[in-house]
Amino acid sequence: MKVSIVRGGGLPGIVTRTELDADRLPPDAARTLEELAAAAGPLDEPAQTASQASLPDELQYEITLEDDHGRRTAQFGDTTIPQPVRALVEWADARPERTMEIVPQAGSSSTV
Amino acid sequence: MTTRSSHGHPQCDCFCFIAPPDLLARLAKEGTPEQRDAALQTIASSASIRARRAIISELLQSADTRAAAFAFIGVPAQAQRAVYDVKHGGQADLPGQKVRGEGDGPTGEAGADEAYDGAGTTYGFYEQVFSRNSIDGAGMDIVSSVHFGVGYDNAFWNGSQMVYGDGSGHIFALGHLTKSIDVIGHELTHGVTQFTAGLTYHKQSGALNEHFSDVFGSLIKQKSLAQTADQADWLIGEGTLVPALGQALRSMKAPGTAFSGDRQPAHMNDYRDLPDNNLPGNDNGGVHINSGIPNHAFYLAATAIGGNAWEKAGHIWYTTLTEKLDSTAEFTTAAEATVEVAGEAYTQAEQDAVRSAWQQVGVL
Repeated sequence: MKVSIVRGGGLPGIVTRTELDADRLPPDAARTLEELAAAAGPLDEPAQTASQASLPDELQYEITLEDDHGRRTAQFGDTTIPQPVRALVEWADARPERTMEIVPQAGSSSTV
Repeated sequence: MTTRSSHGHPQCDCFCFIAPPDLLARLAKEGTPEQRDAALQTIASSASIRARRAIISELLQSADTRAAAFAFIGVPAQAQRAVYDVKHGGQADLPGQKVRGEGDGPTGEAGADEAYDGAGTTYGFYEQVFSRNSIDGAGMDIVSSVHFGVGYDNAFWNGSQMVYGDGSGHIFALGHLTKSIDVIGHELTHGVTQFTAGLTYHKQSGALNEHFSDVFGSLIKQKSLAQTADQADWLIGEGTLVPALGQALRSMKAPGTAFSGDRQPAHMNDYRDLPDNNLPGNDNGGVHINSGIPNHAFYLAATAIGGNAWEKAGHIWYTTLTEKLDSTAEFTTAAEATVEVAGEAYTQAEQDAVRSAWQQVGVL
C-alpha cells in the first residue's frame, strides 16, 4: 500500500508531496497504515463542488491511496477533511520512512 | 430591579442582581416606562460585559427598540480578544479550550500570548490608522486558535476566526507562525476583506484578496517598527521558514526572491494563469503567486510617495478595499480604483505615483 499526500494553497504558497510506502515499514506499522487507510474509507469527497473556492489560506489536500485493489484519490480542504483522513495524514507525516519534497510550481523550470 | 441582599447577611450592603437576564430583557422591551428605565439601568450596571452585549443584541433585534436608547449604556466599543488552544485537533475541534480572554494576563505559553498580542496590535492599527473597529468594523470579537493539527505548516482564516499551526520544522520553523506580526495581520485582514469587498478566493480576485492581506500585514509590521517605506524590508513572514528554505514567504520589493522555489511574478507578462480547481498545486488559480504583481505595485507606489507607507498609500488602498471593490474585481479594476481614490484624496503627485506603479507592473 502506498499513500501520497499533495498539499498546497496555504499561506506560503508552497506545494509539497509526501509519500509513504508500506513496503518500507516494519510489519506492525504497515498494519497500522492499512487500518488508517481503511478508516479513511473510500475517500468520498465532501459535498463541495470543484468550483467552490476554499477559505483564505486553508491548505488543500490531494490524497491518493494505492494498493492491490486499485487506486483511489480525493481532494479536501482543511475545513472539509474528515477526521479519519486527517489522522492518516498526520500519522504518515510522523513516520521517518516517509519522503517529503517541495513540488516546483507548475511550469517552473527550476528544481528545488 | 436591584435589591439589597437578603441572603441571611443583614450586615451586607452589597447590591445583588436577582433578576435573571431574560426577565430584564423582557421588561426592557415590554414593560411600563418605569420598568423599562429600571431594567435598562440594571443591564447597564451588569458586571458581565458578555451579558450586556447579549441582552442588547436581543433588544436591538426587536423592531421597536431604537439603538439610541442604549447610547448611555456604553457597551465597550473595543473588540474582545480570545485565544484558544485547539490541542492539535482539526476543524471540528475549533475553537478549542479558551486559554486567554481580553484583559487576562499572559499565559506563559508563547504561541497563545503571541497570538493575543498580535491580534491586539492589528486591532490597534486598524483603529488608529483607519478608525476601523475590529474585523467587521463593528467591534467583532477577535478569536484565535493555536496548536491546530500536528506539525501543521500553515495558518488560515476560517471565515470567523484565525487558526495557527505549530509548523513541522521542515517548512515552518517550530512556533514561528505566531511570532510574525505580518502573518497575524495577513490573516486578520482576510476577515476585513470578507466583511468589505468580499473578493472571491480564486484567480485574480483571489490574488487581490491575498494582496490586500500582504499589504496590511506589511503595514502593521512597518508601523510597529516605525519604519518609513524606504526603511522597510517589504518581506512577508520574514524568519518564519526554516533557514534552509529561505528568508521569507514573499517579497513585495522583489517578488520571486523570498525563498528557494519562490516563483512570484512582478509583472503581468509573467502572470501564471493556473486552473481554478481543487488541485493543491494550482493554488485556486495562483492566488499566492500572482499576488506578487499588485504587491509590487503597492511597493512602487508607497516608495514613490515616500514617508510612512500606511499614511497615504495605505489610505488609498484601504479606501479601495472597503469602498470601491466588489467580490469579482480583477487587477485592472483595482488599479483604476486606486488611481481614482488617490486623485480624490490627495494631489496629482500621489495619483501619478499610483498610476505609474501599476503601469510599471503592466496592469495599466
